[in-house]
Amino acid sequence: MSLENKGKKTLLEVKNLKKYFPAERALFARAKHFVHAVDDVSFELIEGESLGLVGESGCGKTTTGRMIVRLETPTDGIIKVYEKNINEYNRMEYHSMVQMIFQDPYESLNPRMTIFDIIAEPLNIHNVGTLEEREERVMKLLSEVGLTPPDSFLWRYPHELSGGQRQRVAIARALVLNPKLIVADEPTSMLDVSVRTGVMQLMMQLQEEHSVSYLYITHDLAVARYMVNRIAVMYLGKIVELAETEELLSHPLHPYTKALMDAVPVPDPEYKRSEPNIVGNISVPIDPPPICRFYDRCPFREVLGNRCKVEEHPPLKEVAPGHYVACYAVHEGKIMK
Amino acid sequence: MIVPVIKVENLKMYYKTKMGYVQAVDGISFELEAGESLGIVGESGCGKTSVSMTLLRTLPENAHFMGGHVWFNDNGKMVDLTQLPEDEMRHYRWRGISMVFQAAMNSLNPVYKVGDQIVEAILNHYPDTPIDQAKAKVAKLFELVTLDPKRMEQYPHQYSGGMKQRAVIALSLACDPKVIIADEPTTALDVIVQDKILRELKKIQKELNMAMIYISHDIAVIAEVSDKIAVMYAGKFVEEADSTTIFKRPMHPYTFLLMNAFPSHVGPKKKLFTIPGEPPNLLNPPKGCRFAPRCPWADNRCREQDPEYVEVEKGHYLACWHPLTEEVRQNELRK
Repeated sequence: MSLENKGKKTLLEVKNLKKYFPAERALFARAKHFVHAVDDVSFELIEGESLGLVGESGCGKTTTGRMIVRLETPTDGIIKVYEKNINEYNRMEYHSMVQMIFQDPYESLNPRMTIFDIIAEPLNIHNVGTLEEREERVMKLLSEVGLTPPDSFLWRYPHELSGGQRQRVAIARALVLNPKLIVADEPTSMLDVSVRTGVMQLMMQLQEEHSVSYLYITHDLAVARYMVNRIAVMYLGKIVELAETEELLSHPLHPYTKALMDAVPVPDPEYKRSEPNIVGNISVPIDPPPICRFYDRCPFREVLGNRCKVEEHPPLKEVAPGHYVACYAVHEGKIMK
Repeated sequence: MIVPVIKVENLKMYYKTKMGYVQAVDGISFELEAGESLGIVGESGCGKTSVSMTLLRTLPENAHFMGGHVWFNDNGKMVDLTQLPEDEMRHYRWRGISMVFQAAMNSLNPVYKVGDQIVEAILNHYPDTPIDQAKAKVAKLFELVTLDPKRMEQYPHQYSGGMKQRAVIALSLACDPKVIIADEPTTALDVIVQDKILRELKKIQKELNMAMIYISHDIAVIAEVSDKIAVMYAGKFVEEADSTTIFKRPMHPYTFLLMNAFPSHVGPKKKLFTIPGEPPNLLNPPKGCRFAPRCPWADNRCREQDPEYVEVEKGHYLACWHPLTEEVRQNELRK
């Protein structure tokens, strides 16, 4: 995978990205405490590659995605698209390259607009083509996303469509400007199983046809396995492990990744999962201490004596080719594959 | 011969709307023994939650009971719950059949202490219980669901999501039910919390030798908690068998496609199947087999006649004109 990518351009570069939200602020007072929603996150995405951000609720995966589509302003850090800081692009330029698909297809489509108006709106805003050309483009996209015959959908309203169909409309809208990157925030988690695979396969197929990259945000490791080349596992605002998908799933190293994988039920009654090796509950990272974010819940926190308790959060270090882990115990070889 | 704790026969319940009847539960049959767990799996809108509401008779006003029987084993005497007057039904609710609801956060009253709410449930159903005894019982239930009994004195907002779900499970166990219905009890929770709750629920169910009906859309969760699985589609059961059979040797095309549409994060990466189309509208379900419009194997008979739900081998029930053979399954998986 990494060899193939030689010569391809870096599409997205995220460096030391941070987002702190004020916690419990009184009216007119300055915030004293902050939720460290995203705390020093860095990764890269090469053209045509897809990356999954995986983690439990509150880990900062959605906030990261929202900052990349400029729906949130970072507290600190740099996001670059094609080696240029995203703030240097004007809005129109930027959104012709970067688009988003939201989780809830019942909320993300304007109920008063027809399907044609919804998909054509980016074209109107960007002043692309004549009305006929726009109509042709919308028709073509509708059939590409499997809403056929397209003319029977053009003048319908979102409430006339099912959840799966609506998500297909949202996908068509995200693709209409030929973007390079689509941030997809749990696009299939609201859909039923029988409909979900169809949408997943559609997204994979469109990725090839339109040579677009996905930043795929999900809580579901099994879905990520089918959608992305690499997975970054997030825990309380930090990336704790990043590797190619099959490598991560077959050789998880970080204790959190291991626990997460053990916790996911397996659709096979004969499969016996081991019990996740983790203590306590997930907390909200309000003014977290500078030590490893996973310290409180880590079953290996004492294998290095005092080190995990006193040193700062471990850096994301390459422990095998393309396999990055933020854990001192892994760095020192105390946790093996 | 083993007598079931609950036996459901041809249960039917429709919702009346302005546009006509929604056939939400349309002829469901199953039975359960003590200590056994049945998973009901189906997609949203297939009527699985309506089944639980019909069993407990906690239906909204526009629901119409259309027929069938729910036989409940009351110490050897089979009582038809559907025929009881409301005040006698109350006697069986919670003591006979209790329920763990989907939204734990909404099933606890925010202004009462959690412990008191469970004590209240006990006193409601067993008014003669001395209050100390009820409190001691709640403390024991808290320990059973791994909550610190000190938390009885706290309010729901002081609980995390997983703790609330545990409290709701304790509440459902308050009156020693014989049957417990769990309707998507872990859907709103993160996987690590879900894992703990599932393990506890399963352990408690076996320890107390209760029958459990576990309702979910998540096949992986169903696989882990159920001894047998019923697959529901458009208001009907299409197949029921022990969980291994449902996963390894399904005979109904819907079961087969559904099982292979679900991604797994372990084992070899398999091809995922898609089911064309969408589930039907139950206001006007298709004639014949309700899955026929989406079924790759459907023929004219499927579109005309509704297949009967029959026992095809011991403990394996099926409603299909063209049951899949091992050969067909293998061919499909090789494609």
